[in-house]
Amino acid sequence: MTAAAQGTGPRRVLVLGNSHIAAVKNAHGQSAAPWPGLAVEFAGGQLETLAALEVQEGRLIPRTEAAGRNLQALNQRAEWALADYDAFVVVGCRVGINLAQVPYRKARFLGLPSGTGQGVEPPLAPVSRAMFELSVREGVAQSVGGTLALRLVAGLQPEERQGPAARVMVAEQPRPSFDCRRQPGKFSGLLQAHRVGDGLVLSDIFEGAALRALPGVTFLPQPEQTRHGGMFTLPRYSVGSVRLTAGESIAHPEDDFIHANAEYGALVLDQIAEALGPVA
Amino acid sequence: MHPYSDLPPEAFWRSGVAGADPAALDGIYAPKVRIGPQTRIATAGSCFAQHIGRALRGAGVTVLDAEPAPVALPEATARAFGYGLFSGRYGNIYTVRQLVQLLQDVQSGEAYEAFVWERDGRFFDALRPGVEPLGMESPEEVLFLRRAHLAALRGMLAEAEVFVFTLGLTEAWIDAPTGRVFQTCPGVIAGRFDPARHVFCSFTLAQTRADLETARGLLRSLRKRMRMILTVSPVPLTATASGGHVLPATVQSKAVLRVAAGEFAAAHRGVDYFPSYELITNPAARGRFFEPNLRAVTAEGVQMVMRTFLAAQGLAEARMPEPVAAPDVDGAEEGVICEEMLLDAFAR
Repeated sequence: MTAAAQGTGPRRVLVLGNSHIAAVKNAHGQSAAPWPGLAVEFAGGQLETLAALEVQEGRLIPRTEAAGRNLQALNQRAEWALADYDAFVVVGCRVGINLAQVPYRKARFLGLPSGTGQGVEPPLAPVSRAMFELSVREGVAQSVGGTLALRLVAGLQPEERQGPAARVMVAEQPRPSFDCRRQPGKFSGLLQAHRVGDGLVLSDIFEGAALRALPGVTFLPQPEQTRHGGMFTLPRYSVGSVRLTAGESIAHPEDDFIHANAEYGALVLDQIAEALGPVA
Repeated sequence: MHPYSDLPPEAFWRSGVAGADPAALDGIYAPKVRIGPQTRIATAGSCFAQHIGRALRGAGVTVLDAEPAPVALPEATARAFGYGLFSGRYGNIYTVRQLVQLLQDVQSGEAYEAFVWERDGRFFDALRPGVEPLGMESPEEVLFLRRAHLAALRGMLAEAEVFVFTLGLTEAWIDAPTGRVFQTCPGVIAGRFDPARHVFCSFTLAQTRADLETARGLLRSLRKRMRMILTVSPVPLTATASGGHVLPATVQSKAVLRVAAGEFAAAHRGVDYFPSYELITNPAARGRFFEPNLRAVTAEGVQMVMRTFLAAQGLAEARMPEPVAAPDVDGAEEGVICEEMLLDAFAR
């Protein structure tokens, strides 16, 4: 049983994530002082690595050699005992606004500010809002982050540990910086949705889907103050983002518009601390 | 010499049925309407027709789909939303009258506000209430999607060369003031049953024949020389509202449909009848093509029916359909969406 579970110390939190974990890690690395109630460890894995993590006999372990090597290289370990933590937070891992963009590329429902897409080429299929939402929900559940979070919830069943149940959270992948306008080709879908006024509706749908798709998981949406127009992040929360590395800090290139910076990461740590509540 | 002396073995009950393997009956179907892999086929009908559409697709036959699932959904979810079951998202068409009504709507393109049902604040298309299991946000959304549905069907039917229709039931509920027939009894999925308005009907042979003629005319108005292949579903009624026992009600219903289909096919060069009903209910099979609930057709039965059909059509060398998994819930058929089965929940 952890110290926090006994009410005697900070909560031990394992933050897991893909490249988006770097923002949180960087914020924590700069100063852990703002979060005295959290004892944070990080488990980063590139690309699909974290989808290969599974719970076996109370331990989170990689199911493939490649995933094990990647975890070892980035974290100097590749296994974690669930009983050592009071909370698990999955950061990014493709639980993001893009999941609403996927059905939006092909379908429209009645009630979107831009209309039902009739007469558009190539044709857009009319669907019910309920089915559109369900499709986004499926995307969340099947994403790397959703899959890992649900595995953690299943592995943390009460009989698996003593004391209070550990929490599982998913922190949304930050939306692209609004500076992505400088690459209109790459971000054309999101920019188009923004331009025609559908961004806020898609954002609502994504957040609703994330809440419903992951039973037993606390969803941490992108902090409100960092957003721009439903689909984007304010550029100030993106400029200066760094890569996920084993140690040294390497900045993303200037034209990286999909990662957030340490200022953003600090807000995510605030969300985690708030979700866990004050230490008794 | 007399007319029976030179008949082939399949003309005699002993050699054609009693002594024959019910899974491999010879000479039971000589196609009048021929199809090939490139023939553009539209499918519709009762629950059993879902097997036919799936098997034809599996065998590489060109089955049209006016409304493919536009968004990523697991297959089972997509099917629950009416995608991939037939050539359009109309759900099960149990009666020929229902088909006539749909084709008339396709022609007119009209959606009717009066046929929007409500349940718990959600709204449903009364003419295909099962295709949006979560309901819709508003009556406007129902009508918007119905108009889009009808437009999509119009395009699909204009392309179809052969319309494969499985006749399922003769019993239906009708909205008395308008004469519209429902897919399911009002109140079962959504809406409210009004005994003063909703009238039970069991279509007669004459009505069914007349409806088949009307349906053919409507189909051929959408696509010149469209041909038809008819089958009768071997799946018994889940329940009868006729006031009698469900067994004679089932036999009555299937007999009407069988005779109507046979007579109609005999009357038209471009209409064929395929005996899936006979293949499944063959006494020599001693019920083996039915699941333990004596209603759902087994995977083996479906495969046998489709093998017979494809072989007769010269499509036997095409990829054979994968067997359908056995049902895991009593009364439910794997991968088959059947609104009529909801009536089972009311059994005492």
